[in-house]
Amino acid sequence: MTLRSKHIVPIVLAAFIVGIGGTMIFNLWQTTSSKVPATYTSGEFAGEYNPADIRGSYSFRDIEEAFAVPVAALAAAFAVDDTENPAAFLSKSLEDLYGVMENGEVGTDSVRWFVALYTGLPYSPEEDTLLPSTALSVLQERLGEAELEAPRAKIVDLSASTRAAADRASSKQ
Amino acid sequence: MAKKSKAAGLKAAVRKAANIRLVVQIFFFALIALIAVNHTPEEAGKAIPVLWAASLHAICPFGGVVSVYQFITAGTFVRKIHSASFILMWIVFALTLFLGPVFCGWVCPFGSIQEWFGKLGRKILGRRFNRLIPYKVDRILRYLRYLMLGWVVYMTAVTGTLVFADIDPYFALFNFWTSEIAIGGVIILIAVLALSLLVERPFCKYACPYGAVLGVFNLFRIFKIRRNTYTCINCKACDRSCPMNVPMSTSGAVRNHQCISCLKCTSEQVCPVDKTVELTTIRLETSTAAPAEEATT
Repeated sequence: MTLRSKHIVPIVLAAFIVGIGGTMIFNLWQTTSSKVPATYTSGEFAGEYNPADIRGSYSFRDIEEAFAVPVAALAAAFAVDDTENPAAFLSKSLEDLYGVMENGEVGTDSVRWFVALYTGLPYSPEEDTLLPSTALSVLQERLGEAELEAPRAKIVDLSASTRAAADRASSKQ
Repeated sequence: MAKKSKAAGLKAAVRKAANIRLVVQIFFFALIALIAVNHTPEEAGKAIPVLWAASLHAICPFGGVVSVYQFITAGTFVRKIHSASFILMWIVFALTLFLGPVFCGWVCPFGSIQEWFGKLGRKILGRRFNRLIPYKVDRILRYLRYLMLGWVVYMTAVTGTLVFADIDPYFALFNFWTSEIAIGGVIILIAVLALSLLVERPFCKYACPYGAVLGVFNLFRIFKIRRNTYTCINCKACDRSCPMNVPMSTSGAVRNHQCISCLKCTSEQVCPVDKTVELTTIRLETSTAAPAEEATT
């Protein structure tokens, strides 16, 4: 059997259409996260949602639904409470908002860590992960001094200029 | 007169076959570009209706490859990778098993843009285009992409993140307007496009980890590019036309890991003898002489 260019086109298109269409019918085709985090598979917290699986595409509402951390607490912790709709704020937007700082970054991993601290679930943040000072204020209401020791070492005080930039970006949301 | 009209007819057929592939390449390039562009407004809930929107990671079949280890060991995908990448990986594997790396030659938008830059390079350099690197050096460099593949798969397995995204020129090409873009990716993108003016598909040849995976299928693909050694006139038109510099004229069937199934070498396009170089399942050597070796280097 010999094939030519004119045969390749329908074969390639059919493969993609049948493959993608078929998996769509069976609801297997996913291009976004299901917003249902993975669970701990062993230990004391087995079966509970794992903050390590929070993705950048998770909105604060998604996190509230999975981990019962109120949107208001998340918005206050990351200083986006002035945003028009904090519930729709995406975790990865923090990276745009605050950017890379001298000692690290406030981003999706900061959200993971904050959620873990807020809920008392185990999580080891990445080495360059920072928390804004506003997050510490929120956590102080829930945690004791000993538990605050680790986050205290990774606090970044959002300067007036950074906050102003954040406010401007938030108002665009 | 008859000879002239036959030559004109052959030229028209060649152009038609080349155009078919170009149309497919443009279609996939535009499709991926539109999907990537629509992803930005989609995140703000303002996606263009009807048009599909997705993160480039979600629709990249290589994402499936780098996720295999985590999927087997933890049952989850690497961050930013979803089931779509896995499904696309299997679709492309099936196509490649059947036809060879048609994904590289017909679908991959990054391969296409290198090829289009190469057309400009060919105009500038003429015959020297794609022949600048000495054969011995080039032959060794071709295996770099397997090193790249090993590094990417290992690092992704260890870190659980898409390490390649930070240096991926393909991601940079379709995300240069977003904040997700990494400076490493932009630098490599610019370097690759500049090199494409000198060498055809430099990233595909020397660095693409996905091309490395698909290239292995050339060893056992069902439809092979085969040469009829009996009717071949040894004009080497097939060698000269090959964007990947595969030595077709010395082989009976191409098993070279670099073949991208573009069909440029076939009798449908540059081979001047009918039914001499074809994409087929049938052995074409009908000569009583010993069949030529299969090109594997």
